[in-house]
Amino acid sequence: MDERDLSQLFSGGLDDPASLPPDAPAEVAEALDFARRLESALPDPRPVPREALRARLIEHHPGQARLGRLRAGLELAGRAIAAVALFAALLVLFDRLLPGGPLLPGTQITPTAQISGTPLPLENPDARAELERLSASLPYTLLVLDPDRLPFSLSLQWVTEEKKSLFIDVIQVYASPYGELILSQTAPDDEAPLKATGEAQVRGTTGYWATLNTGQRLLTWQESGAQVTLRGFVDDDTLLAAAESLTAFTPPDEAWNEYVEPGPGFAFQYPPGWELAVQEGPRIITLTSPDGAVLSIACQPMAMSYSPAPDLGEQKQAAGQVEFIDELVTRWLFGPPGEDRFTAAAYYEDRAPAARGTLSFWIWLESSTAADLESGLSAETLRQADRIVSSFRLIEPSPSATETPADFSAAPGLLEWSPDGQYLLYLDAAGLPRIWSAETGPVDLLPGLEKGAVAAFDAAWTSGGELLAAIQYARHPDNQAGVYRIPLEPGLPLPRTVTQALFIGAPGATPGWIQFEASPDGTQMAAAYGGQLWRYDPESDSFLPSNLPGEYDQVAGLRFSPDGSRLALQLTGSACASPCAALALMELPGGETRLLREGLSLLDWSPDGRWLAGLSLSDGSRDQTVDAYRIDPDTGEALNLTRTNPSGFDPLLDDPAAYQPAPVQVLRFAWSPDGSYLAELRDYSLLPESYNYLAGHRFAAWDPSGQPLALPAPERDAWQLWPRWIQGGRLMYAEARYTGGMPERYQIERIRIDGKPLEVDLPADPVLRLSFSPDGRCAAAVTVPPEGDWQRGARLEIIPLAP
Amino acid sequence: MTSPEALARQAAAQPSAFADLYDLYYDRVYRYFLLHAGDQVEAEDLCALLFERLLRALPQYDPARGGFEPWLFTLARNLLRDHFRRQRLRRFLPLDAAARRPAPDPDPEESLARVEERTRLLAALWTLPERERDLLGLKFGAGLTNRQIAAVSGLSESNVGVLIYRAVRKLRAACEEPAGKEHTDGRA
Repeated sequence: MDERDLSQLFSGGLDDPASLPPDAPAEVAEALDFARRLESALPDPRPVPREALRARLIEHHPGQARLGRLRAGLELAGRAIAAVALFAALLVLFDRLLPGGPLLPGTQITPTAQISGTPLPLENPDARAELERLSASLPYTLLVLDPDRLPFSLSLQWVTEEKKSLFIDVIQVYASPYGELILSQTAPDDEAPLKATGEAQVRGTTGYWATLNTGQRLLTWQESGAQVTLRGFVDDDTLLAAAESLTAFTPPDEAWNEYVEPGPGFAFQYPPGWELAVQEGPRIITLTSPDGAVLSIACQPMAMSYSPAPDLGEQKQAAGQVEFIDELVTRWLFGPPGEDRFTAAAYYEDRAPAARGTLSFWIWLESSTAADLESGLSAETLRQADRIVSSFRLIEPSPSATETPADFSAAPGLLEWSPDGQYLLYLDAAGLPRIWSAETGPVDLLPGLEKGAVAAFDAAWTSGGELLAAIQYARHPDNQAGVYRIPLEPGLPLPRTVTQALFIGAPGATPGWIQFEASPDGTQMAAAYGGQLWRYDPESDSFLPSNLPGEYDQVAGLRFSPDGSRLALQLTGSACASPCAALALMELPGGETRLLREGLSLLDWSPDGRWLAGLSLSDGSRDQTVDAYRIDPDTGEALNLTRTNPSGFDPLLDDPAAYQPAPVQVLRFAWSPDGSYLAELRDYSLLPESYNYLAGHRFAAWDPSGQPLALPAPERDAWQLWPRWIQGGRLMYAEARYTGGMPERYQIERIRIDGKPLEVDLPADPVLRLSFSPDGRCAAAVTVPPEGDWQRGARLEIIPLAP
Repeated sequence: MTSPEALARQAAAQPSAFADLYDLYYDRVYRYFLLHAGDQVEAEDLCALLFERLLRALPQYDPARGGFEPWLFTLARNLLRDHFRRQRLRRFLPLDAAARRPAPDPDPEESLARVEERTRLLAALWTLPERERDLLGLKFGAGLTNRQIAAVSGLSESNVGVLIYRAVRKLRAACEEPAGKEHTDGRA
């Protein structure tokens, strides 16, 4: 009985316990028993908030008459009022705090119902003074209530000059010795009254702050002496869009600077006097105002899709109605600091469709300078921050160079040579696939890919030189990924046609990172993403999902055998322990899949298809042994290649019986065309005294019969080698030292073939990656500046080698 | 008995039908949120937001396009996603009273053993991946059938069954795990 059968028994038992047969496996019965405990352990809702919400919703149901609503509100208030609250609204500093906000100067805030008041006993004189100060400075607040007389109900209404009402109705409040009160408000639309419910909870607090959040209409008041908190939320997109849109940016009189971010493709302006700094790696741009406030801009390209779910906000975004950074999310003003450290801040957030998926922005302005803590961010700083944010605009990514492959991807995931060494596939700054030809240099962007394609995730070359690229096709209505066939004819640098993409995945699926493989003859294709394996079905000319064996529900690697008759899979699963991997084999064209070996990861097929190579799993320890194995694809039997050739053994010094080899980690593994194999190892017996754990590399190689081959030893302090068997069975590698920075950058010191250094011009700049062409005629290197912005300065350099 | 779909249509226009709809679904929605929020107050807040959205969205509900319950819980899932997205923004803020908010006092009539079991279960839930937690919430909190969950989640019905069965077993194992054991990510 497999897992699917067990789960059916389980599901049936949940729906109808009587349906469970008496001979059901014990594990199903136990799982059912546990599931019922889970159901019964969930508590019932608390009745008071449940009924309060019900009453409020019914009161405001569209079918309810306004009079009925008022009556219901009064009745409810009559039952609930047992304590007193007082709101006062002062708009003295309104302009300063809320430029462009919906509550305009002169707004009147008046309670709609008389609420009897009992002043809260403020025993803390500092708190009392602060209350008075805030009362005089905030546009609206403040709450005074008597915790002893809670629960209570209160309502407050104010009318803006635009005749829009904001109606706060606190229906439910819980009392507590500490008197925390929480309000939540919602807004059906910007013309209708805004509603609120609230509740108070018991807890002690020591802080002292007031918060004014105009984006979500969060009003907060907390006082340490009386321990009272009022929080109110308006969480409504309509209101936000209607009321808090930033005003359109108009260039100020003074000359503003412009910042252009070419990779993701956006730009903004900022005033003179603000200092700009760009952080490497995760993109955070900071602008420091003359008075010390910091505007931080975090930008992240995201691949997102929106479901057709019945959610108003989602529908709005799916319809493309989101404008670029038009939304001020929050403004926060924190009162004078107590023992804690508080800040004054404003937050903006938005997403925007961009060249590569979706750009997601988080922008926040904050300050912790003493002056700001005393009085809040200055109106001028806030005004300038708003203008900076409203000046954001999307720009087209910079055009890629046509003479040299310079405008290189910030995340060079692809650097793939065609089998004949004639072409190199790489990604440009926009993530689009480009090809460099050994004959003619860079070629134009592949026709047909400019529009719609967002990023190439993986590519495979057939032995005939045809390129198959899996490309996320985000502008496809269903956001599916496409596979393109790109025929490249030797001697003809430009591909003549790009055939129609084949789409992978179910409509509406969100493609994540895609792994793509094709058989050498190009007739078989497979892709893995979203935890599923998709295999090309020639009959339907489409990709169809395939089931995975056992407990495994994720595909971590896939390789077709040289003759295309088998597909080796590396599987992992959310259910298995860490580290976790297994090898599986799919027979083609039938698609039957079986587990081959657990506990090994997949490397590659031997050139004759007789063996698979795999690695033992690592838990990430830096000195843990990682062995290479040769696996029989028919039986799953695995031969440990590295243990059968222990390193470091000296017959003159070591006792064979007691000898324990130092840990070795296989870093790279490659089959030679003749079936010999090569492993690049980190050998801990070779580590320098400093125990520089990135050094200590050496090679180990064996001929097809398993006999060790004598290979040159690289320099001990080399940190990267990038070895490759090139045509003719020769070994090419580089020796590079670590130069620092993130990501790790290496300075190439020499390139060797069979241990002999080549006389070549090496890149002056450090490299991130190096890849030798299969014919050994050249190497492709991703170079970056020694310091500074590596993403913008990344280049692809072709190094002629002529071995 | 009125079907949920018919009731939903009536509820768009009639307050009394909306009240019936509320009574029918509040507890299930609450339990679904509780399995995600882990806090009764937060679950109640989410319930309030959901039913307010529901009140506005009901006129858009079209029974011809699908059952009401999958539609309702799709709304709930979207709300949760928005909620946690906003929470991510708020983590910058010193005003994080919610994070420091203690759990409400237990009902004195609730047995200590039940409270302990619930605490243990909810803690174990958080060791599961989000997708599995969501499926358990839809199954045991919302009380949806596998078919309804398939409609909400986009998975196949049989896959839902397997995933829930697998998640229950993992949750059970997590509950039986000795305290303090750390979970690590797998890395090959």
